[in-house]
Amino acid sequence: MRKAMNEGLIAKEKWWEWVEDKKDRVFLTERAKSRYGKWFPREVKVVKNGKEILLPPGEEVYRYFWTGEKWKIEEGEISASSAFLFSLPCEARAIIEVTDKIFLNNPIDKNYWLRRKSLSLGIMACLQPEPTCFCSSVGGGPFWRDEGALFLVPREDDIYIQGEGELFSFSEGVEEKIKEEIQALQKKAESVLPSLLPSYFPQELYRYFEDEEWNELSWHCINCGACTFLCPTCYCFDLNVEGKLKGFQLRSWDSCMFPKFTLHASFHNPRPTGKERVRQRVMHKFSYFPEREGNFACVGCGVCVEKCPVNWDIREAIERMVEKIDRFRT
Amino acid sequence: MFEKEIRRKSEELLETKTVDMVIGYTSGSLPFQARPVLISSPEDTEQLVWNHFSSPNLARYLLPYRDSSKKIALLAKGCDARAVMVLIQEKQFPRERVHIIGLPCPGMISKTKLEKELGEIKEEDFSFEKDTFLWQGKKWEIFPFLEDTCSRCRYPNPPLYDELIGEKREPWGSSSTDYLEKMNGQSKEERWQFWEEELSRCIRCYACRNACPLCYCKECFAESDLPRWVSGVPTLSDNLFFHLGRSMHLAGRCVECGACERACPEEIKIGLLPLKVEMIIKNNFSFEAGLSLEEDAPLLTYRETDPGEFIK
Amino acid sequence: MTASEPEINNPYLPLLLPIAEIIEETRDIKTFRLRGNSIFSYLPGQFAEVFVPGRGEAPFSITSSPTDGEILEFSIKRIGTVTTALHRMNQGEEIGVRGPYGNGFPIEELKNHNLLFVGGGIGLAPLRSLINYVLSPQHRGEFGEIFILYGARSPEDLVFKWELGKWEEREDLHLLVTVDRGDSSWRGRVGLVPQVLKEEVKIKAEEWKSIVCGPPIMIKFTIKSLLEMGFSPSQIITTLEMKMKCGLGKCGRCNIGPFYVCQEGPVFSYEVLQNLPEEY
Repeated sequence: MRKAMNEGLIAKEKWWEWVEDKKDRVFLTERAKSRYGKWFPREVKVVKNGKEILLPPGEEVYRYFWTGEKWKIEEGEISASSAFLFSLPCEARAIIEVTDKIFLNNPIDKNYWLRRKSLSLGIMACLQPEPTCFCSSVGGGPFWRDEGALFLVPREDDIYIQGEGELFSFSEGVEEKIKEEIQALQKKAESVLPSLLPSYFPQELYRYFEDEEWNELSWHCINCGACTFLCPTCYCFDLNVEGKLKGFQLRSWDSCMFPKFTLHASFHNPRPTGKERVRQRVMHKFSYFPEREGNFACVGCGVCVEKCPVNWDIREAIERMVEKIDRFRT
Repeated sequence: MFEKEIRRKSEELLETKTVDMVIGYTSGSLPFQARPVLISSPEDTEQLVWNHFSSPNLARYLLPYRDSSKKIALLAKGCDARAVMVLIQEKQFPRERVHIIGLPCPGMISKTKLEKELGEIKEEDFSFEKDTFLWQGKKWEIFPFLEDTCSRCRYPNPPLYDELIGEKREPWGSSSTDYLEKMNGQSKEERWQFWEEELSRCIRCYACRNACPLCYCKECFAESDLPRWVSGVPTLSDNLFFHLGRSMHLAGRCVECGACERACPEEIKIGLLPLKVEMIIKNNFSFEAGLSLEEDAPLLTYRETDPGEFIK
Repeated sequence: MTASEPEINNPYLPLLLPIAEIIEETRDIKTFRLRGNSIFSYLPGQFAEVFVPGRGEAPFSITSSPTDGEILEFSIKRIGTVTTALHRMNQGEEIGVRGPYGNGFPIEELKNHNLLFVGGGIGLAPLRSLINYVLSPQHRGEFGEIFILYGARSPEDLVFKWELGKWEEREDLHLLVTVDRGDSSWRGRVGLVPQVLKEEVKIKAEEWKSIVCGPPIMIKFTIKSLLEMGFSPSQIITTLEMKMKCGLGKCGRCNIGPFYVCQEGPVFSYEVLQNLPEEY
């Protein structure tokens, strides 16, 4: 049972006062900028998604050097000053419901934790989902919000806010009329989106691992890494050592689409062709991760669909499997 | 635009068992996009389409069948057919196993350019012809909306085919135009600034490399661990190394199809690099890849008449 | 942010330990005995990520048993960058170790049972950790009969030859060593492990549990033999070899089905393995 969240209204001037003061520490995602760019000063830093900040494409995990007599290992320095990330609900959900679950547990990844605890999230409502969006089918929504973050719905001259955050210190109360308006906007946005995937989907999909449907589905994928690198939830990485007598352990983004991902030193490769790798991506996001963590590892943002060079559409893969499952389910 | 003929011909080839499968395009899940498709039964040929958005280079889809015995019919634009020719010359695919359905190409249209000029657009409002389209009651010329890679195309007609569907056409681009003239004329600093901006956006997804029909190495130099030429991090220097390395590995082999540039999710003008290398090859060896099966690629053969001024 | 925040350690930092001894097992396998450390305590069947500064990091199963005292042993086959660098190292040099990772063998479930160990080639290494644990004075009484079947391609390829002799001398276990191909001085059994298993190990399957490790093809046929002998899938335990990097269930490499092999594995019963996608 979700506890009732604080609600408030920020006047335009108060918002500008606050954001001008903080502008050096504000990050804005590209998509949030295209919708709400006029609410932010030009100087704010634009990022593709939260992953760029919390799990950068390359980072030093630790350093080592030879003193002449022995090896010394040192932790790298992570400077994480407090910052704000304003994004759309799907992008925020990718952090809260996917990458946080992996990197803040079992054990805690220190670098990620340092950056995450100093990052406050601002979730900006999505009033006009794109044709490629499907956040509602994976458990999210255009007005998805979280207790620990700030939820914003910019209007003409003010911003409706809900949740937690320092902005509440100069907000006013919200009239019922405005609350109803917000609810109507939410309904409107939700109406164009697909419905939630059935709850039995992760379990059933697992049984279709050997299905020949994967052959057809995976055929035209060219196995580049575009979808995995642009995806806000894909978190797979590689660890490599750089430097002989003095160097560091480098963590860099990796992709399950690359053949080397599962290549053993003996040259045995459990996922030798594109088909196994495409299947792995879908199964991990829609079956394995939900079985472990309780929600899909896909937030339905649609970036992979938009950017795929050969129009490989994950929504189609899911639809076909749902259809097949429903047809044979007793 | 000849869709019916293409479907009929593919159906015929499959029914008579002249080929085991047809590789072509079908409509995608998004507007203004077509996707590659594999058709193995005559009834499915209804799915085939051919339009201004049939952008990927299909020759690339021959590569997984190098070692099989299947005979494949390939729908090939001018550049696709050139790529098949190079694959045949490099002994990557036997001539007898590919049945090329040549399609003189009208040029691929850039969805980004359409949106930039016309605003929010819907596919059903358009009616495309070979060189023009109708939108909002007005007739528009296609040329300004073509992808950069296609507006400079000099070989829209397949130089190799088993049959041709459509009429041969004049190229959009001209052989005498130096499409790199503007860039060649700029100062080093200006050119560096351009490439710094372009390549900083690269996320090293390898879409360009994987879309290219001629990048078929089992292990790409970018993935080598021993020695590790580039790290997995998309820094400017590593990106530069990868793209220049790839362009050099394509020297004398690239058919300038531009599939790399059209595949890039960050819309980087990556096709200009292999283009520059091919201009150098053209000027020094009077050679362009994929135009004739008899001509040998200059970097794979030795001739006593090879220019040697660069070796002192 | 509260004032009393826990101190978070960087889980990727390795512990530097010196090499106390190097034993040459075969032409391409060496056992590295490191001087252990009381903060590194582990269970049989777990593995560690071994870091060679300047070269790289790779996962290796721990072949010593926690009952052996403060030592840490790895048996490593020379096959790639990291292993080649390790093979060039000398006594006294330091290497980085982090872990232990993985689930280890289900010791509680194995107690009060007869145990059949079946190892092939270097697959004996992870099994040895459990074997020496079971054979230790403090634990021998907790287990029933012990049968060890070990095979390699040739007599040269047998690992832990120096320990096989000690095991053979013991009265409280059966040891059967076989090779695929003998040589002029080999007086022992000649035959493939799955074959020898069926022909020479006459036991009543219900009273036993079997732990298997070796090259994938040997595991496949050994399990087949065990099932024919009457073992049920839950009585067969194996340890998977998988490409792993972080060891922490984060980098995604060892993901197979709903498991991360570095967390819920690498030890799995055949019952569980049967239901996993065959991507190992």
